[in-house]
Amino acid sequence: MRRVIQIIALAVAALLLATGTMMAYDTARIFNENRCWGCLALDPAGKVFDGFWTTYPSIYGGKAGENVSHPGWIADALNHTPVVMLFFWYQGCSSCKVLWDNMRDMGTVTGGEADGDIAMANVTLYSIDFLAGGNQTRSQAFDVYTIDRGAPTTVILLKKDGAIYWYAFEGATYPKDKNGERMTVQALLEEALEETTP
Amino acid sequence: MTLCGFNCGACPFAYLCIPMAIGAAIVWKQYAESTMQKKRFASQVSFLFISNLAFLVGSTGLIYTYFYCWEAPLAAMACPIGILEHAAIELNLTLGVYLAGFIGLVSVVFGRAACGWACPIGFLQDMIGIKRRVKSTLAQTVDRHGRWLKWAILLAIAPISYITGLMAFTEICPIGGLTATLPTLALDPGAYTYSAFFYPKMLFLAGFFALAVLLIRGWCRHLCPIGAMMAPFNRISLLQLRVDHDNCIHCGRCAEICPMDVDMPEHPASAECVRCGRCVEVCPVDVITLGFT
Repeated sequence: MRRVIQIIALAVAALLLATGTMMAYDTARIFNENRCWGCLALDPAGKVFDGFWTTYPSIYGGKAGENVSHPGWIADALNHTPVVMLFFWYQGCSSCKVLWDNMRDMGTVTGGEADGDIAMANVTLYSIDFLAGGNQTRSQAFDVYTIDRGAPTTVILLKKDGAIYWYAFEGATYPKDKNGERMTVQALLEEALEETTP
Repeated sequence: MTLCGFNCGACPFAYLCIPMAIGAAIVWKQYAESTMQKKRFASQVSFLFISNLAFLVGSTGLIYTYFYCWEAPLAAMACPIGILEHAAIELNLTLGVYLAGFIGLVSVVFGRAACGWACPIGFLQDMIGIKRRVKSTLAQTVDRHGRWLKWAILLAIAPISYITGLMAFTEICPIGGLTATLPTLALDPGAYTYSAFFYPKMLFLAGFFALAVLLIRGWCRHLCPIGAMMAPFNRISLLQLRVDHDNCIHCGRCAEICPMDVDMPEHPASAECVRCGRCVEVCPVDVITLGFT
């Protein structure tokens, strides 16, 4: 009897593994590849805002100084509103929730990460669950802007004199300005809007 | 990825392997007493190395079949509990199927041997555990009933993760604190702020060490949800402990040495057995064997 149970259990487990490998291996790899700040109970702290960038800054390591291949849909969005904000998050990410809730409490955004909207004029928000299988085009933008493959990654883009300027930070804590004061996302967006004002 | 940035504090090999090698040397007696234990030691060290192979193979989609954090600096595989949480939060059935297949197949073949032969956390506990058996009746009662906790934790993870939308266990996981948070902090202590879960995680880590020191494999006995996933398979696994009851002299040595306090020789297929083989080598009449059926 035990032998029969063993054979059945082996067959079922092998079938589940084969099916699961075909359907979920890549998902597991992506989870493994990305930095889960919630798992670490840490948040990157050394973020500084010292103006918007045109190329990759030094925090991007090997990419530093390279030009950024902004996705076409972002360039299109910047033709409609002067400032675009990207919020990369995924379900289960506690740091993402902390930052989003903070932005909502401050009146910068409304709703939840999945269905939220920006509460500021002249800004377009794309809140992107980059690990969900939905809109691949938008999810792939994460690869362009990610610093350490962590979430949340917040990106603010603006268009000035025909060029795209941008700034990105990772984690739930806000970046510091030149004086060492924390800048909220709202303050960063206001700074971006000011940059676009002739 | 740089193999060695000369920052030993950040290196899992320096952080884990060297202290564990020193620990293993200190407790070498328990490994040196038989060929099987030497093999087990080699296996535990090998799996500690395999767990940290990202510098060679990058991040894979494989799943650890033991406890190790996927946020450890050189982690190559995914955490089974993290996968379970994601499956629950996103109602992702394929992730659940993948996890069940991975854990199921390994467990059907080896039972809970991964705890005894592969798990770096089991390895650590083998070295730091002081008290081998609980003696008093009260302690035995607490130990016996406390073993249900790991199943309760396992069963609670998915619903709590789904309801809260957070990785319920991972946020406070002491093993993540040990294998990922502390090495990451060691890499660059000034580069991080602590989330709200940092201090609870460290508190649980202190609790893990207290339990592991006071009671050998205390974590495996009472709290490990991955051990709980594999434990039911002990009854049907291909790898089994066998006792020749006709020739057993009931000397009690197997029960005395068992790190999991399994009721030996009566219940060799107990869900608590981690197939370490300590009972095999102490049996004076060689009636206990560990092998594939």
